Amino acid sequence: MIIRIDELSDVPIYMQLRNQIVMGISSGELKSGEQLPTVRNLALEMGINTMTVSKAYQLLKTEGYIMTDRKNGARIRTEIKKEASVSDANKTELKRIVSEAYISGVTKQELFDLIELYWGGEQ
Amino acid sequence: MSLIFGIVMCSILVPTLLIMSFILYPKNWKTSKLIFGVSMRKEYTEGDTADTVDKLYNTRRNQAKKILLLSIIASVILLLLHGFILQTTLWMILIIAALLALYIPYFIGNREMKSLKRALGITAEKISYTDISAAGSIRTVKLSSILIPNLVGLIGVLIAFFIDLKIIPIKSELIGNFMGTGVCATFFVMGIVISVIAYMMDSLKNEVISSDSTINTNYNRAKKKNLSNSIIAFLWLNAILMVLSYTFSILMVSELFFIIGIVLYIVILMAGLFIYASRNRKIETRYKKEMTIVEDEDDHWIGGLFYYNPNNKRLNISKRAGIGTTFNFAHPVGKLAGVLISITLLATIVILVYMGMTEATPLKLKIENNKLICHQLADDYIIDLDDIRDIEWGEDVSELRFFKVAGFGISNLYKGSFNVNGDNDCKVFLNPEEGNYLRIVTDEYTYYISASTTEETRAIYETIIKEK
Repeated sequence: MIIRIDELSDVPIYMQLRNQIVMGISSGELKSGEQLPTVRNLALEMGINTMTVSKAYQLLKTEGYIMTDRKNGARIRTEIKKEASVSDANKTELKRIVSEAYISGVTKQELFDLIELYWGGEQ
Repeated sequence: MSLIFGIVMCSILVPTLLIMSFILYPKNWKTSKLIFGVSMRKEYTEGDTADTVDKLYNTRRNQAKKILLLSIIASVILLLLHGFILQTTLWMILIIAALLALYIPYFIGNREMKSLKRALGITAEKISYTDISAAGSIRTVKLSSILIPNLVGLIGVLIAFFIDLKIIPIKSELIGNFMGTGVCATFFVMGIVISVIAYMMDSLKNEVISSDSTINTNYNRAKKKNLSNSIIAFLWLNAILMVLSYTFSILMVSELFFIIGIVLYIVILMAGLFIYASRNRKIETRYKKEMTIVEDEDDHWIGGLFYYNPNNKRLNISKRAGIGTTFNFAHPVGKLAGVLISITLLATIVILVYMGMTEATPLKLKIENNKLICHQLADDYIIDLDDIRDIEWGEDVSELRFFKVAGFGISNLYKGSFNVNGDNDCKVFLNPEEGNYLRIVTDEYTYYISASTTEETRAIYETIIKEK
């Protein structure tokens, strides 16, 4: 799976990393139980601070996407908790996206098509 | 001797320049990953832009060809020169100048390509890609494969050391002055340094060329495997050459074997480098079609040569121009390395100037306050006349056999610690071209000295005899 970090983005690097891993899980590029690189190896590979990777892993662990232990390092959870609801933060984010699309003249159908495209991380 | 030295230098410089030209200025820029250190883009190969790039590229490439040709001609001319220091100084100047000059068209080409990129409206996205499945998992340098040749090297150093200590009894005039141990240790240290570099290169960031992890993994593994094979071959070459050159020099007592060994070593090394570079090129060509992701780091490469990226925490970066790794000069250690490299270059120039001044300054012998002073740029040796146990007038210095331990050992100047006719740690201060010399024995050392002319040496000899 390819991690893409935008150095000019307002989104902090640890959050970009977290988001990419979540998208990887959604698309199936990261399979349940799959081993993730160690904090040190990933930081070295990406050329970023180990604290940044550690922070992203910690967040993913708290959110229930990955599990970590001293022996096996970080892995994708075999069973990710399905709450079947959108978090308040994501609702706000979605509202922003829909609003911007509406203002810029994107039709509802075009937006639905995009959701269809991204559903399950197909694109 | 100066011709052999010239051949050694020539065998270093010419193949290095040829390999660099091959890497920096490949024939077909369209199949390259980089054009003068600027990432290849589809836009450069289309329409009028392709013609512009073609013209720009060929202009700079032709300039590089001319520089290469001039450097080779200059190397051949230097082969005909005499005088060790003069030759050494000129060779060093030529090596530095030729290497720098070969980079000039590349440097200018890099600037021109960046201008063209701006003119085309291409801006760097500042996006970095990492293949999560490759992180820390692609390693091809195995500890065991680099440990064994280094162990052979270490055993060689220990054997040489024990021979010098006369624990292992071997008869040779070279034994006892630790010169052989020094040479073996140099080879051994070189092997260790290369092993460390191999580990650093093996842990370099894996390149992301495709959205398919399998392609990325295979591409990076192929490149690293090529590297590790080359490093292991080099380490074995280093160990074997160390053993051979030491054995031959002990058995034959001839410096010529060292020189032949060094020339052979350089030729094989250059051939190895060429094979490594051409295999790398083949890998690049093989994966050219798979390259769908281009990470734009052009702005972080100053002139396509020096990497400076404060946002990248990595210290060692894969070179864009040439073979191996370079430093991220924005990293604190990279900054320190930059300072050390600059100091080393400056020190080399200062040493060359010092050596040139030493060669040009005549040897002086004088007696002051009951002391014999050997003076060149400074007072090299001061011998109290009361300490002299014996003094002999030597008619022909060529009858003596000198082996340098430390100091100068060039055609018109022997100065420093030498093994003379099997006698260890003698202090030498003479011009071997003059012929006559004085052999002075004190409780501490045996000295072989002369002034710049026979008359001066004779006058000092007679004064000492009178004083005694």
